[in-house]
Amino acid sequence: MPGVENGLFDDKTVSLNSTMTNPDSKTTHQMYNVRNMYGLMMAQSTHKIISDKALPIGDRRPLVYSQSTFSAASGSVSAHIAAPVARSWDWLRYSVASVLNMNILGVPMSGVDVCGTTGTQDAQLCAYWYQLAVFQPIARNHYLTTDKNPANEPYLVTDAPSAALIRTAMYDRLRVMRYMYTEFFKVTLKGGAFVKPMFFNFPADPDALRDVEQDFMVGEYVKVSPLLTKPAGATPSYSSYFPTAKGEAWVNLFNLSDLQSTVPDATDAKEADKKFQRNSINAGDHVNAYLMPGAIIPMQGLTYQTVDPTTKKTVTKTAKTSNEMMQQIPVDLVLNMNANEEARGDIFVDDGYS
Amino acid sequence: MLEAKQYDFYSFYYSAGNLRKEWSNNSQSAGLPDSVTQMNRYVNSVTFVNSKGKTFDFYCWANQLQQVEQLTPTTSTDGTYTTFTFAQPVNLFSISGIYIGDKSKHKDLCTIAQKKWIAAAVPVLKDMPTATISLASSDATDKTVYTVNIKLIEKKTPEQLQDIMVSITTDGVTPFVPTEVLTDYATKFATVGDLSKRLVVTQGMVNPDKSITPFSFQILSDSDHTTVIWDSANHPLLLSQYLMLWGGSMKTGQKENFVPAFGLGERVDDFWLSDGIYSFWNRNMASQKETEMLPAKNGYGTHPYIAWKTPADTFAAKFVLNVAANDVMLSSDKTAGSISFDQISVGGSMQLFVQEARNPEKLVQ
Repeated sequence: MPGVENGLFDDKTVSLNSTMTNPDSKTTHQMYNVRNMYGLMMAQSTHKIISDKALPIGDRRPLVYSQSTFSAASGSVSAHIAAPVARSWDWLRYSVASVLNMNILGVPMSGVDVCGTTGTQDAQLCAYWYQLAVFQPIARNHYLTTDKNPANEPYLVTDAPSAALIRTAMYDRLRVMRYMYTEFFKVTLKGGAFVKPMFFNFPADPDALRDVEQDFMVGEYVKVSPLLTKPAGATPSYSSYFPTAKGEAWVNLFNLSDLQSTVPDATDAKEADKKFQRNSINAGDHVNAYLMPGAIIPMQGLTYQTVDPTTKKTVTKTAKTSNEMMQQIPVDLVLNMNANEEARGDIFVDDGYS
Repeated sequence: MLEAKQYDFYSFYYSAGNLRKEWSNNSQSAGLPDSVTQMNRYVNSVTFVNSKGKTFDFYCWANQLQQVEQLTPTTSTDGTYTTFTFAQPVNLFSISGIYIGDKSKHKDLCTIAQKKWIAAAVPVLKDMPTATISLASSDATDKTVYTVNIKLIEKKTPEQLQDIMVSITTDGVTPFVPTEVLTDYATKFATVGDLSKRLVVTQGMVNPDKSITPFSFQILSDSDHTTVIWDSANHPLLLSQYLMLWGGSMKTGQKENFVPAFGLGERVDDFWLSDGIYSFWNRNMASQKETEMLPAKNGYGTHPYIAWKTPADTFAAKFVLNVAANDVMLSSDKTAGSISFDQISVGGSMQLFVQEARNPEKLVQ
């Protein structure tokens, strides 16, 4: 086995002669044969137990996540966290591929440790990692505590511009939470990927096969184009892919005045033949995320009005949790017509816990 | 889990100034008011982005009985987008549609006080490829008759449901589109794939241990039943208790049309798979080598699923169900348009699944 380090199967794990028992079939298996399924069986058992209606939490939907998964079967009972990951710009890019991969492999609920697990702290990297995490299915800040791995919580970031970016990103995630729930519900019904490469939406376009990490789809309607390389100047820019027809545009979700389209001029032979046409976009206060033409999505504000039980007066409150926001704040529909002046979209509404 | 869940799922369709809502769920919350379900079903505003040059001069909403109520939204715009914020949030549960549009381009749906569509004699669809139904508005001021064309699509395979394609027109103008625009399976799937016609089995080769490979096989694309998408010729096939060796070539485009494979995980490196060895052996802790040298392979997840774009412009995928420790070795040949795939496993049983679809999204689904 050339791929296993030092050729040792039992390196950093239990004896291969040990056995484990399938709780359903009661059959016993040797670790040598079923080691790869251990995480799946553990997740299945955990999911089954905490879904028990007899438990006080039995009416709550379970969330199990694991670093050890096997095949697409894991996706139905657990999420996947890829860790450890290093605190570097290379790993920021690799983390996109990791989440894309797990979605293709049948575990759509996946993520990596935001800001990285190990290495020296980099406030700017951490800030843009939070921007990327706005649309990451699971956004978990987690690290290994050692002298070489300083703590990573966002409130420990002292660099003011980076702290501001992190704060904005956390609010942005709340604003798109309803859309993410809706798209996850569709994946639950139909299968498929939640985060996916652009060529999933545009399979016949060879340009969609390029630079897969830089532009990817989250759900059916939103393209995310995060900054993935260390910025050289004050206003870092990079190229991004915008497939459109004449008369339509992708619209920046967090700056609705920012329209992006790339339509080769058919009368100009050179322009029409130009492959890989892309736009230059700037990294800003918000992650670059674009609503595709022909789409309707729900977004939400962060404040709502309610009656104070003591003073009986109407007061404005800011939602502190995603659940509070989804239960209290009305939805804003954002509609981007295509060239035929048509659009479609979905919204999923639930009680917040079942 | 969904059986015990309280939820609503709505789909929206916008055309011709009409934002329609379809309620499509079968949960326990169906038909229950907010006080029972404790769900937030309110819409505060509708924002039309990329709306420069567009006019909006009618706004109303209609309840499920098509009774129309004028809206008095607050309008805000910066020239590139227009937001209509309602005086009171509109409950999705109550409405059938929100009408916002331009009278000069569309029928002013807000001027019709009440619309109850009355269907003319509905033909029996059975054994009819197409049918036409006339719908007339009961409103005395609205004499428009809408024609509904219904096309019945034949069932092609057991998996394909018997679907109906609907289009609605009046005087060549589409006042609104039907709830669901369905795929025309008849044109997309002219022939039904038959695995036996797409699997070509030939004699085997000599293995490294001098044994004879029992057979090799080719898999042909469903698109033309001719293009080879997988070929196990010249790859060893050895099946024994503690060693399994097998492989083949994944066929893709040649030279500039070459597209690398994707999949195989868990791993943390580029999305497209490069040549090398990919191990599938879950361990409690990825090693220092794996976490600090790039490209690295986290060892926690085992997902032996690999996909590639075929020369027939379809996407194919291969899943190998084998839980024993195994290594996959990839090497690509851009000139020949193939990616060599060889797998070594230390035991267990093995099941091979090959999928093909025109769209990678369908492949994953």
